[in-house]
Parts: sequence; C-alpha cells; structure tokens
Amino acid sequence: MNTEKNKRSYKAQKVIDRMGQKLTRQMVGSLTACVHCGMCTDSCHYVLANPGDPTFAPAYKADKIRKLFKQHYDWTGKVFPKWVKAGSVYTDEELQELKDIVFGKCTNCRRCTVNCPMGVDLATFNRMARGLLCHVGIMPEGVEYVAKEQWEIGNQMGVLKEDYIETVEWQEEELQSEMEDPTAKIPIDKPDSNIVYVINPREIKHDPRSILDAAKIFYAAGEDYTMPSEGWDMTNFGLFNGDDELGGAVAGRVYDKVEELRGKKLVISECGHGYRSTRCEGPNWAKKDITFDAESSVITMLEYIKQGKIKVDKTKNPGSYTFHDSCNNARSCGLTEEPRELLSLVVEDFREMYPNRAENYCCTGGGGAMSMAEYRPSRLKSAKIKADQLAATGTKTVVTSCHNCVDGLTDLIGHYKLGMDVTQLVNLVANALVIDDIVEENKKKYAEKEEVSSGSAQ
Amino acid sequence: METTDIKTGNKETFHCEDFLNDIDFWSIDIAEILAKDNKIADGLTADHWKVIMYVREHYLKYERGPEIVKVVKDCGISFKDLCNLFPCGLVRGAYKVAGLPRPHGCI
Ligand code: SF4
Ligand code: SF4
Repeated sequence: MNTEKNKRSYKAQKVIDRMGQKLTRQMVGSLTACVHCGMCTDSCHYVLANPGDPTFAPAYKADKIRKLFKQHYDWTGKVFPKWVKAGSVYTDEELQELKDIVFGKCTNCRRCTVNCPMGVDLATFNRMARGLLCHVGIMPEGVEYVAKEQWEIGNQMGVLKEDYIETVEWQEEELQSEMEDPTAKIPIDKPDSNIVYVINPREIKHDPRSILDAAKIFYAAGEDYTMPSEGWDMTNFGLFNGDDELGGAVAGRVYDKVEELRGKKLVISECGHGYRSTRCEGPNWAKKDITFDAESSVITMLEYIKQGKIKVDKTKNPGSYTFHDSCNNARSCGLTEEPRELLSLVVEDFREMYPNRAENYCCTGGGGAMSMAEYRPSRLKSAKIKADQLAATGTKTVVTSCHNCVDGLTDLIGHYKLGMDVTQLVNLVANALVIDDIVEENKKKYAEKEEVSSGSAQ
Repeated sequence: METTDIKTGNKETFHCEDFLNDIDFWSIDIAEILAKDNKIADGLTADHWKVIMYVREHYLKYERGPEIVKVVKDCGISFKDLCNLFPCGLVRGAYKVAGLPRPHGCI
C-alpha cells in the first residue's frame, strides 16, 4: 500500500496523476527555466494594481504549480526537494486555493511571457493547471456553466439552432431594407462558397449589429460567402478552462462544417481568443489537419479596401479613436499591424495607446475572467492600469478586435467613469462604406421593377 | 455598485456592476433606480415595461435571458427603438433593469 498516496484526497491524487499526462516539452522547459530574476514582476497588471502584495507576482504564482512538478515529475525535486521548493497538494482545500490563483489571479494574458529573458511561458502551464482542476470538477461556477453549454448545446450561450437562424434571417431583412435590395442575402449553408463566416454567440444572442455590419461589407464587396447553420461558434472555452478535449470538440465542429460545405476560406469575426483557438490552437486540440485557409475578418476587410472591392470614407467616422490590442491577437497570434492599418483607413483621428502591440495591457477580462463573478472585485481593481492607459490617450472611443475585450473594457470604463465608448473595426468599416450610389441604384431598379410588375398586372 | 447598495439598503443583493444577485429581490422601485443608473434618465415608460416584463418572464421560465430576436419580435419593437429604450444594450440595460443576474460567458 502506498502511504503517501493515502494521505491525499481523491481529487488531489487525480490532479497529480493527470499532470504527468499533460506535461509537454514546452511546459517542462518553462517549468524548469525560471531563475527568479523578477523581471516579469512589473509586467503583470495584477502586480501593478496591488503594489506590495507578492502573491500576485507571476513567478510566485508559477511556483505554486512548479512545486508540484518538482515534487512529482522532476529529478531535482526527488534529490533536493527543499532546495528546489518541491511540494505537493493533499486536500481539497489546497486545490481550492490553487483555483483562486490559476483562475483568479491570472488572465493568461502572456505579458509576463514576453518580458521574461528565459522564455518562461507561465500562461501555458497556468492553463494546464486550470485543466487539471477542471478535470476534478474544481473551477469557477461560470466557467463550468459556459463549458457545459458549449459542449452540450454547441455554443457558449446556449443559443438553439432555430434562434440562430431566425436571428440571421432577421439581420438579412435589415440588410435588404438598408440596401434597398429585396434580393440581398445572408446565405446559410451555401456550399462551395469562398468564405464561411463564423462568429461569437454574443453577436447572435445580445447584439447582432456586428452581423449586419459584416453583411453590409460582404454585400458591398460582392463576396460569395455563407454562414454555417452549425459549427458557427468560433469562441472556445477550452482555451480558458484548459480542457483540450473541449477545445478540440468545439474547434472540430467548426472545421467539420467548413469541410462539409466545401468552403474555401474560414473567416473568423473579431474575437481574440476565438481567433487564437480556431486558427492557431484548434487543429492541435482537434488532432486535425485543416485543408482550408483561415483568417481574421480584420485581414478580409483590409484586403477588400486594398483591392478596391469596397470604398470607404474616413470622414464618416468623426471623433478620436485609440486601439486596444487583444492579448490573444497581439501576443499569441501576432495580429498587430493589420488592425492599425485598417483603423487608419476608416477614421481620421487615430491615436496610439502606450504601451501597445505585444506590450499592451490586458483588458483584465481575458482568460475567461468575464465569466468568473467571484473574482470581479479584484479584476476591477487590477483594471486601474488599463483605465489609466485609456484615459491618457484623451480619446473618445476605444476600438478593439475582440468581443470579450469590448465587455471587459465596457465594465472598467463604467467602473472608473471614463465616459468612453467601445467599438470594433467591423462597425467602423461598415459605417465608413461608400455605398450611397449602390443603394440609390437599387432603389431605382426595384422601383422600376415594381412599376413594371404592377403595370403588367393591370 | 456602492451607490445603488445604499439606495436599496441591501449590500449583498448586488452582484457587481449593479446586476441583482437575486431575481426575487427585484421590485418596481428597484427597477426605477437601476434605470436611472443605466442611462434611462427620464424614467420608465410603457415600452420599457413591456420589455422588462417580457425579459423577466422569460428568465423565470427558462432560467436564461431571451435572445434579442425574441425580444424584438415578441414585444413588437424595432431594434432601433430597443437600443434607444436601453442605451446600455440588452444585457447591461434590459436584463439588468429587469433584475436578471449577470449572464455567464463573454459578456
Ligand atoms: S522573468 Fe522569467 S526567469 Fe525571471 S522571474 Fe519571471 S518567469 Fe522567472
Ligand atoms: S499571464 Fe498576464 S495576468 Fe498572468 S501572471 Fe502573466 S502578466 Fe500576470
């Protein structure tokens, strides 16, 4: 009988056992490389908002996971356990404490990673630790709820297929009336399309203006596209809860649908974690080689302008704008220049926020934090850093290419009474479209048709 | 939100960002307070109430807020009018004033 094992709770033992299956070479590299130089400390928004509290320091948080690795999976922990600060977990209470660190004190934003000379990627093994806890059912209630919806219903907001379709059809009617074109379509499940367009369920459930705006842009560009009736949710709570199986199932549904429709390119609406999950991490999780191209809608819109497929007039977006880089877009996927280029084409007054690009601060709602009500006070406290950064730009509106950042920023703007608006590139591009001539032409064309048909009916 | 806590005299009831924790704690007076705090300056009109009661009933029946398409179609209100009625949007406006808890997910 193994007495060491018997001292441990059932869940604690499962966490230790599973860690062995989840360690990748990259993670082991990160877990062993830290020299505790402290250079990452001030890169974390939690540290900056809580000066004097060492428990927020990235290396401190990392050590809570690292000690398990050292104790159970690294030879140094077996030979010099005290020296390398090896340690284990024994009780469910200790697992709860670990939960409060890996979910409540880190948004997996990776800002510490880009500031670490040793290349320690805390966010990667923090995600792994989240996954270990989720495996034994220890996670914030909101994360559990959303993961379940995404697994069982197929999207993170539990929208039923008929409601999704009804919403797209409703936006199609809006498109027809705005374009004065009764034949304008938002096609669903059209096979062999150039583009399959996937979105964040928030667009369906709460605010479909971005669907209409994207549809207007596709319409103006004369694009051959479709929205899928299933596999349309490009968000992925597998990234947040560390569950690769959930990640693979969700991304896999998107890929399968694109293949079924024989779509040539997958276009992902503006969402940082959705883009990272669907374009970068998903094929790994789903264990699938994808046979089609995948890109952010930011690239699609920029290309339309560059190729002259759509015309825009930046004077249609008066006022001053700054740009907030989503952590996943900028630090994990390198999507930093295209959004700026696009923004500069559709607004007159664009002012950088500092620091920016890969050094930008998290909206503080990243890593699924928007779904963790229990940590919201601490999140909003840490948001002071972002609030100061926003206020210093002196702009009226912050633009971001991420649905989650929209909500994270909206919360902190309200909390710190900044009085700023938040918007996305799709809204600004649609608003800047020069389409009056198309609309006028449509108006005439369909009025004539009406006359002809009413004339022939007489 | 602290100010609202004081007005209602109930610290625990507010989740955060003034969403109610407990849908049963809601009352017409609280709705009016929440409306003022959320950019509905001139008080709640009949159209507001139509949306508020619809959203509440939906939540009480299905334990989730309704999709915006249902609000628009079932209340017979245009999307534009809905945006004007609740400038903070469906969730931070209508759901909140109707006493729904903050929904989970990227919101
Ligand atoms: S900067 Fe890197 S090596 Fe230095 S303490 Fe942070 S994680 Fe460790
Ligand atoms: S990933 Fe971001 S939130 Fe987490 S410790 Fe590093 S800087 Fe802080």
